[in-house]
Formats: sequence, structure tokens, C-alpha cells
Amino acid sequence: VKEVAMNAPADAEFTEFMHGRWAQLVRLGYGLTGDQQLAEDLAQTALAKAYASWPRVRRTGNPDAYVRRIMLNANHRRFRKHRVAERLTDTLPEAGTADLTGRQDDRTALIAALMTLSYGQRAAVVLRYWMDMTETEAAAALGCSVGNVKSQASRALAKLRLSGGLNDGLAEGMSNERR
Amino acid sequence: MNGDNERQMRDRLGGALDTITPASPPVGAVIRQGRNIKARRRVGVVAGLAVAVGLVAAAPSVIGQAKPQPAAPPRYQVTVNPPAKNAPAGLIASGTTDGKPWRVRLASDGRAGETAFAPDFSEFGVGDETDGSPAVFTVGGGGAGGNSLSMVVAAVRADVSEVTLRLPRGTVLDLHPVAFHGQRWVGVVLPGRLQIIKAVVYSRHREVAYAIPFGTSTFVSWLRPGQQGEARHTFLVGSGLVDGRRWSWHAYTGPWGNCFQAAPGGDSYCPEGSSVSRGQVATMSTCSAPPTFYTAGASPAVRVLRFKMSDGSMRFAPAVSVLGLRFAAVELGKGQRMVSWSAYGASGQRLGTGKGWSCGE
Repeated sequence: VKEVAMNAPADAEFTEFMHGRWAQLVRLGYGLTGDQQLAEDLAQTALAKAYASWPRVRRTGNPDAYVRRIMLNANHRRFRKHRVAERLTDTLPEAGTADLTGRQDDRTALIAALMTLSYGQRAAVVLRYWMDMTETEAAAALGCSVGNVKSQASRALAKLRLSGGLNDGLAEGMSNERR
Repeated sequence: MNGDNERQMRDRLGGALDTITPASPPVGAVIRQGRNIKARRRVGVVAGLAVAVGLVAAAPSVIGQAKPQPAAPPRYQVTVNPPAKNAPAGLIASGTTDGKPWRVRLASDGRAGETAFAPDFSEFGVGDETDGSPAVFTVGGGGAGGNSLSMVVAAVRADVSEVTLRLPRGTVLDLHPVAFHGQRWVGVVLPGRLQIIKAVVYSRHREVAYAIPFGTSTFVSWLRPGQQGEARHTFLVGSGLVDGRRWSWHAYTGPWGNCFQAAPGGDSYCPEGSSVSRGQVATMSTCSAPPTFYTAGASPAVRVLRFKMSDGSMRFAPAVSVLGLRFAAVELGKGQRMVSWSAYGASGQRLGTGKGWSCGE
């Protein structure tokens, strides 16, 4: 990014932090929302809030955890607000127009399946299996108990296993398990 | 779910999410948003304290200083592609805006400055002389209502190798100049009324200049990197009632320079350079569409302008100070025209006079 109007060292530090985390936060947001625009909005909101309290955030020693927590909370609020619009269904949404690559097909199917999960289940899956967090770390990020993370992740995987929208890769893994 | 399946889930999620390519980090937008959050917190704290100590009367004035938050910008999606190697001459860029395909193509008949665009856009003239300015933007519209689109075309100076347009919601478009008929151009089609927040031009090695438009896309002044530009202020130059219709003429100063806008109608006017030359007392500038009113620029010494109308009536207008100059506006009744004007200083002395000026001349 070439346009950065910074003058204070704290601003420069924040800018560096943002450059390093932006892509990961957007990807986390995408896993939570299934929409890149929303994901970027969530990441932007979380970073703006972190900027507003940057000295305090920096003092925590773990700004990543702070920003992630803001992002998860913001998404939770959004989820509650749009509960009706994002009503859970048993059937997967249509995949839309044909994708150009198999990778996009794969992503579309997986994200569509994730979107059938509840907020807590979705967040638990993304934190545990994409961010590779331990159950304890995921519980801290979500502000809930370790047991809750365990059960959310377990229910999520069970639901995904039953869902017809998962791609061959995962289905193949599951059939191996059955064998 | 055994370990294999967990591992497989990790792989699938990694494959799905790691391939997401976000837009560039919107550092500027995040910092602005963060500063707004801080400012709102400060207002909240001050207002809270005021209530706590019983200063109920003070609270509204504190809250009144908080600017209303602008409405959230609409969602949109814009993609821009440079022309392919075998693209027809004059094709500057193509892409999609909210799913609608577009092309920006300059006319191929040698008339630089004329454009022939994809459907929904009628031709419009494009300024092809940069006159030393890093870029000269021209904006044309097409479509209507929620489907309206704006075509943004800019002639750029020879040393410019990239132009970025910062849009709401953190989007930054990178535009790369394409040569055509001795000039270099960039172009894009945006959703109608979408505010361009900032344009930045770069040479191969550095940022050359930036501009913040007045309104959605009127670029007037270019600033050096790091240069602050004028502070944002709004001045009411004149207002009144003519033939039963209200009118007003506001001056808006800011990093774009100085622009004027009429209401109703919303015609805007952004003079390049000073409206009044050295040694000149006043100059009649523009006429608005009905309801009609004259506007005038005057030297800093002028305090009042007197206009003599064709029906013998006199009208006085205070000269309002904007960026060191004075401006005035006066309405024109049905069938009236200005016969002459006189400018007066602070102590009432006459500083200058001039002949009238008819709208449309």
C-alpha cells in the first residue's frame, strides 16, 4: 500500500501490524461469513477498534488475540442481528454459476456447508481446524468454556458429515473412516 | 471424527481459505475509522461527565459538536482489467461494475477527446490536455436511478505510471495508463454517485501527487505527498427567495480547493486559480439555472456589492470572506437583468464599478 499518511511511531507500528495481519483476518472473516466483502468489513472494523485503543492493545502483549476477539464479537452481533436473514436450513444454497477452477468449486461447496452451521459451531470449526487453535485457545477467543468448544466442534463435524454439500475430499475421508 | 478426518478438515479449510486474495489493506480508511471511534468516545465521556455534575445545559452543546455520521456507503463490486495485447486501439480498460461488463474505449477516428463507449453511455468529450497537471479527470454518466454508472476517464502526464482510486469500504483500484493518440489515459466505470475518496498518482518510483475530489468525483487541485490542503469549511455566500422559490449559494473549501454549489439544483462550480485577478475589484462569475441568481468574486477589501437592476431597483449583497477573497450572490427576478455593479469597502468607500452582465453572455 503506497498511501499511508503516518507521522507518529504508534501509527507506523499499527500500520505494520495491519499489513501483517490483514490477509489472515479477511480469511478468518470469510470462514465466518462466507462473503469476502463482509469479511473485509469485519476485518476493517476490528482493526479500526484496535487502532482506537492501540496503546492498550499493545500493552496486552497479544494484539492478535485482541483483534480476533473483536472480530468474533462483531460477527456474533451481526449474526444475532441477521438471524432471520441467515436462517439455518437443511439444504445448501445454490452454488451459483459454474466456477472456473476445481479449487473454487471446492471452496464454494465447503463454505456453503459451513454456512449451514450455527454461529458457534462455525466459529469453533474455523478456529480449531483452520487457525489450528487448541481447544483452550479457541475457548479464550470465543469467550466460552473448553467444554463448549469441544461440543460445538463435535456437533459441527457431525453435521458436516451428514451434509450432502461437502466435497469429495472430505467425503472420501469419511468413507475411509467408515471402512 | 478421528484424527484423520480432523486433519482432512484442516486441509479442506486451508485449501478454501488460504486461497482467498483480499484487496490491499485499507490502512487509511482503518485509521480514519479508528480516529472517529476515538473522537466519539471522547464526546461520550465529556457528555457523560457533564450530566454527572449536573451541567445538563452544557450537554447539548457538547453533543452538537459531534458531526453526524454519514450514511454507510452502498455495497458495490468493481473489477478493472488492462487491455489485452491484441485489444483494439483506444481500449483503455475493461471490467465489471456490480456484475455489469463495461469497456472504456476512446474514439478511433483521431479526434482525441471524443469517446465512444459501450452501451448505456453516450459519447462525451474528454479533456486530453494535462497542462502540467498530473491527471485531468472527466466523468460522464449513464443509466438511471440505482442502475446509474459513472465513467471516469483521466488523461495523465507522461511521467505517471499508476493511478490509484480509493473508494468507500476500503477498496483501492489500481489503474495503469494506456497510450492512445499521443496521450496516456486511465479509465474505469463506477456505480453512479459512488464517492471517490482520493486519487493518488505515482511515477515509477514514488508518489507524485494526490487529490481529494469535491463531491463524488470533481478533481480540482493536486497536492504534494504529505501536503495537508485547505481545512474543510462551508460558507453561506447568499440565499433568498425569487419567484417563490428558495435559493442558496454555498462555498465549500477543503483539500480540493474552493468549490461553489447552488441549491436547489445542485450545480457546482470549481474555479481553477483565483476568481479575481490582481488589481481587479470584482468580477461577475456565474449565473445559476432558475431560480436565477448572479454570483460575484471580489477583492479582499470589498465588503458589500451593490447591483443596479434593469427595472431601476437596487440590490445589496454582503461580500463573504472565503480563502482570502470575497464572494457575493444576488437573486434576479423575472425579466430582470443587471445594469451595473459597485463595490464598497469597510468604511463605505466605493472601490470600483462595472457594467452589468446578462446570464448567458
